[in-house]
Amino acid sequence: MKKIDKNNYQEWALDYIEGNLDEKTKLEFERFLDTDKDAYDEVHLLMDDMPILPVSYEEFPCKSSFIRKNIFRTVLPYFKGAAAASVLIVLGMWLFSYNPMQRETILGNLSQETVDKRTKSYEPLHGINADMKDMQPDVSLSEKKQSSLAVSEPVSGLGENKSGKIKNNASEIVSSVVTQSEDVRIESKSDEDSVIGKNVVLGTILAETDAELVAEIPDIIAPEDINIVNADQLLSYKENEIEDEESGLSVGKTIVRGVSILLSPLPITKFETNRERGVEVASLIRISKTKSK
Amino acid sequence: MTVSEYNKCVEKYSDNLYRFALKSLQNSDLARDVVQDSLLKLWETRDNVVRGKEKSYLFTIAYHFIINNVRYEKRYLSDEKMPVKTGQFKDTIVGLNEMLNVFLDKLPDLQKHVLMLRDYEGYSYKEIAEITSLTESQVKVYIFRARVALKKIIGDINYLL
Repeated sequence: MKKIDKNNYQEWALDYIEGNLDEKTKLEFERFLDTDKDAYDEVHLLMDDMPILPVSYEEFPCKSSFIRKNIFRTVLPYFKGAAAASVLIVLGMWLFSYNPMQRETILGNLSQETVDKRTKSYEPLHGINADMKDMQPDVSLSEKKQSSLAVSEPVSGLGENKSGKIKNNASEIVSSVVTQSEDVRIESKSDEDSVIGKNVVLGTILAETDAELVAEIPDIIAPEDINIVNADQLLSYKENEIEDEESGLSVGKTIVRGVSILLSPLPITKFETNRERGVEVASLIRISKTKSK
Repeated sequence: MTVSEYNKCVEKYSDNLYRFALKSLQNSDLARDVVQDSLLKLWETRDNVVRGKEKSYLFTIAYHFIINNVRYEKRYLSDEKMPVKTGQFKDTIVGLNEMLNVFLDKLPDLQKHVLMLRDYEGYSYKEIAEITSLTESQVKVYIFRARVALKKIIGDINYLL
């Protein structure tokens, strides 16, 4: 501790007056005061009665002009209405964006002729528009694989039906509209597979029974050509899939059911575009339970 | 610092700031400018303000504006404050408190500022040192001298009366 003298005693003066000095420093300070009368008088002048400035009550006159508005509290109430209206408009546009023909398909009122036309209108995966391209697996099948595809019609140009010509039974057909930009619906009219969903189905495999379906799929699909996910993954995904508003049925039930009996992975890719989302059953599969030979 | 927090600072501290600036500068227009500039600076640098330190941050800003004003006045302007004439307080002072406020202005600026921060705002010596960019020892010395000066003036007045 530095020595207290007449040049620095004021550093300790207030602490001495306020009783904040330790014993050692206090004694040192008092020893100094005993040697300097002027310092002693000053310190004891304040010890008797320390002048404190009185409380003052001036108010800042322009206070309110500095209060900033909370934009969320002032703007949000007005914004809420506009936001709600915007949401309703967008929702309405989305709901009414369906092609009337698709609605027909959904309801299963199409004739066999129409179904056949639709299946012929299918365009291959690689022709899909830019929105969906990024979501698509590379499913360019080799010629050999194409020729072995079990399709009733050359819907994707993928080759002949290895089982011969297969006609779809209108009453049990799984119909779908497979184009680039339309919502794709899968519908089965069988009791077990009443499913309406949104999927991009890019081909057809028709099998009369599940067993045949199982038998055919591994031969048709080239794993290296398609993104493959595990069947378990598909099942878990499907459980969360959207439901069709009209029927209340979950999407892809047929597919889920189909997967459940498959022993090998089912190639699937999830996709989502500005207009639709769903599950792309890669490349080939449109599941049906009917085949007529 | 959110908008709400900023508004709370305006509500809580703008009067204190104004009082400090007014007593420092003895000019209500300049005091208003100081407060305005301080609040604006607070808003502009609100992201840098440590929560709980808003008041000392504001006072630090205000103090620097006040010092700049004082220096500017001393250098370029004539003294616009009403001079306190020797016989004035005999005629106009009605109480000790008012007398203290009058004589506060007679103190050197540094003593006046640190004394106001101590008595008006209740800052500790350490906080005052941070605001004024002084050491704690310097703050104690200035406050001691200010109190002694005020006490002597009051003592003289009592003697005269």
